[in-house]
Amino acid sequence: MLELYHSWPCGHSAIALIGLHEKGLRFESHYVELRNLEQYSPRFLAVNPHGHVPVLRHEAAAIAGTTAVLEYVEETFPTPALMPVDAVGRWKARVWGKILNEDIAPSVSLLAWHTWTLPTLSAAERGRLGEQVAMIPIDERRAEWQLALSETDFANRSQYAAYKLGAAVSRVEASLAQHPWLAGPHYSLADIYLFPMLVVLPRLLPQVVNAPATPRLLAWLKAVRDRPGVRSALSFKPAGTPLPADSLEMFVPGPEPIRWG
Amino acid sequence: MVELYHFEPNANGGKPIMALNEKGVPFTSHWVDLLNFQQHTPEYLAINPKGQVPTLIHDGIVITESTPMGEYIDEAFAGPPLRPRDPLERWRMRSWSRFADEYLGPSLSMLGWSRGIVPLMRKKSPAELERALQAIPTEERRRAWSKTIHNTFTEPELEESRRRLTVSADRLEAQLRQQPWLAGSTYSLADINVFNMAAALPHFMPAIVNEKSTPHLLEWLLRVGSRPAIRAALALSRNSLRPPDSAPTAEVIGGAR
Repeated sequence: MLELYHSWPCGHSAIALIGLHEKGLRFESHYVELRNLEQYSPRFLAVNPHGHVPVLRHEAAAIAGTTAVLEYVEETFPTPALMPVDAVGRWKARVWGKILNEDIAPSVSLLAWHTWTLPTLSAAERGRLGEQVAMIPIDERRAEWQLALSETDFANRSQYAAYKLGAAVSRVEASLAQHPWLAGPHYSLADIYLFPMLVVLPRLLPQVVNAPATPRLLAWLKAVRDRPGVRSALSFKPAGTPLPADSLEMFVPGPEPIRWG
Repeated sequence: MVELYHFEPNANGGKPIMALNEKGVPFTSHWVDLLNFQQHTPEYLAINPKGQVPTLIHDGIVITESTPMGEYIDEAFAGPPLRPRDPLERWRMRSWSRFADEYLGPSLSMLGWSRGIVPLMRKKSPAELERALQAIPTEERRRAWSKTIHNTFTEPELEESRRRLTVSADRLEAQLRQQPWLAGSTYSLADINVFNMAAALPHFMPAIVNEKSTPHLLEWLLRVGSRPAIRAALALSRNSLRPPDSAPTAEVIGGAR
């Protein structure tokens, strides 16, 4: 029996949903409303004291940390295989997981927050959010939100985020020149890790990701998006939950990479 | 044929040395002197364009990034397994490794650089340091080195690093109170990865990490540090990072070498 605590199919929740759908695994869905900061509610903190989704519950264990969770799923349910068979390919897939966690996710979070979320908030909404944020019981998470709301050092931080994403995008483009998928000749966890974050870049950083500059990345995005497992994961909506029509067009509003991690 | 480019057997550079030793894999060691910026020379950048250590070359294939490198070593070579068989223990192994990479490591390295490397940089001429900064291939490393060379660490960020190290020590103590190794019942890459960072804690945070407050963490450090594979790795130290007024961490943890 598998249970998944997740937000709508976006960011790290999309990674977990795609992984489970690609494996053809049935699971019980627990939807967590990130827009209400439900991840910091006592009820959810009892599931994951670090206050982030996704969380997978299998037998007695509740496990978090998306890249490690997907490796757990791979090792527990080995077919169809989503890791390369050779040690070099597996190393490549894990390096992409690290690039996701350390470079791509934090940078996309920061830029998406600033480009898409902050401008849509009225002064009253910002004030309300500030009050909600003040109640976050986890020090680091509260500090991260407060930093984002105050826009402290934003110019410097966003420039650095754009630099990091530029470097990651170049690496993706170079890798796809060598083989059709990120870790080698076959689709793998590496592709699942990066897709939900990179899919927003044509809109978030159009000056970096566009047809003349990154043709391979764009073709790869389409190839991943066309997979049946990915399609069903992206259209996955728990019963009775009002969600955006296209989850990829609607990004999770928030500055923290880690709660998606 | 296995070659390893590395610096002192601590932090990320120590991880593959220890993993290879545990597997019993002989390798050719290439010392890269980070304090004299050998990692940014054209010769080294031809091997690792990011200018970071460690780099493993296995039959001509270049493997970088020490955490995934550890799993590569375990998969590519015979010898005792360094990953648990149980998927849940493996998940725990990877969670602790990520914790070392993203939380414990950066905090420790900020304190270590501000304390240990800033004074060493003061001994070099400004012109040499400026040349060194220009040669750094990536923005993230340039930022780190620039901070160190110009000593622009702020008290709030150092304080935040100390707070995170305190949190880290508490988490490690809580885990090791329950089980002998970080992944559970089996010694694994998690122990190697975290040890390479946490070995400095008793030296950096003696008021927080000591026999009274964190007995299980201390006992685990000694247990890891006394393994033959780890002792052999620590014995490669040239003490390049030894602060003038204290004993090197490797000695504190690994016992007599």
